[in-house]
Amino acid sequence: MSHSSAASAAVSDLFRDCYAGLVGVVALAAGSRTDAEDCVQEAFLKAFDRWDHVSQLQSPEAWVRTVALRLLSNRRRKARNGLNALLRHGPPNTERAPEVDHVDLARALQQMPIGQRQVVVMHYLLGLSVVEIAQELRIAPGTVKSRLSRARTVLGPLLQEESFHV
Amino acid sequence: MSDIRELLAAEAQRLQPAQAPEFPRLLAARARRRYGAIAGAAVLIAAIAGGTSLMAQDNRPLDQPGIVRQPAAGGAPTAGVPVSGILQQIGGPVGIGPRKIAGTVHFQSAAGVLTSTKVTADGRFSLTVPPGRYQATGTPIGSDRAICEADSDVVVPAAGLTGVQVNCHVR
Repeated sequence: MSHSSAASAAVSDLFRDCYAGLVGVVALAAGSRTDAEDCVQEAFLKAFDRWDHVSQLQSPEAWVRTVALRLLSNRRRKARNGLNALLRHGPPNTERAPEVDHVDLARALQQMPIGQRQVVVMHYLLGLSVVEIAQELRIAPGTVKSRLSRARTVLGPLLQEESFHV
Repeated sequence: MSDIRELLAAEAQRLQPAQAPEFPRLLAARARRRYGAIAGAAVLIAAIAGGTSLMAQDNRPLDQPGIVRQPAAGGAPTAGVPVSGILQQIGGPVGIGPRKIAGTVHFQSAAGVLTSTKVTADGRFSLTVPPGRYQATGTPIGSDRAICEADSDVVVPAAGLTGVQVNCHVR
């Protein structure tokens, strides 16, 4: 088996196991499953291109997730990919209706700019620290803190704890 | 009230797609996009090059109908050799020396085969023609007639030729 086909097989396995979950997480930050799918797919393609490096990491899935979340930051790209995804896949599937408990969260996330959604997902869902988020998104820790602070204002009623960020 | 992490996890679960594409199909789609981009660029370049060639050919002298045209480079029935020179404006007010101008230069062989090439703003041109005797004329940019010519027929030897002057005389 050639190097390329071995990498393709390995990434295919990873893709099959992690794709749906990663899209769900990234969609929280993207505000759109179509955008999320596009970013995750591109992140997997990048993983394939750099499989020699990615395969050596402790968690290739985390690498793909970080790359996908980072890809969201480029707004021009986001707009372009939205159109591309629409052309490739057709209109997105109808998403399952949210349960009543989730309506407030979805509404709160929709009120946030993408940068805030990114840090909310990475901090509250993935459990990353401010420093880790700053490293992964390549932004200053202070920026992460301020985004989290603003996000907490929106999420306020939904938060049980977390009076400060670590 | 639910924990924020649980809410986010449940929302992420809800946003998961029902089905996923096959990764090999993504690779194939990317390859097609890249191929399409390369092919598109190639078509664009070819269109520009073709348009330039056609423009040059369409600027042929209008007072020489019925001539046979061929591309400026390539496609010649016999092996061509390089020829270069300048297109320049001569004459005008006292004290004004020859001025290099842009346009098109045409080399017409004794058999009537016409080879044209564009001349850049610095007046320089180059083209490839088979060795032989040619009548060299020029069309300044903005003009539709060949109002410039070499002082005499241009004889192109097998080794090629440089320094051909095609002059546009002005009063």
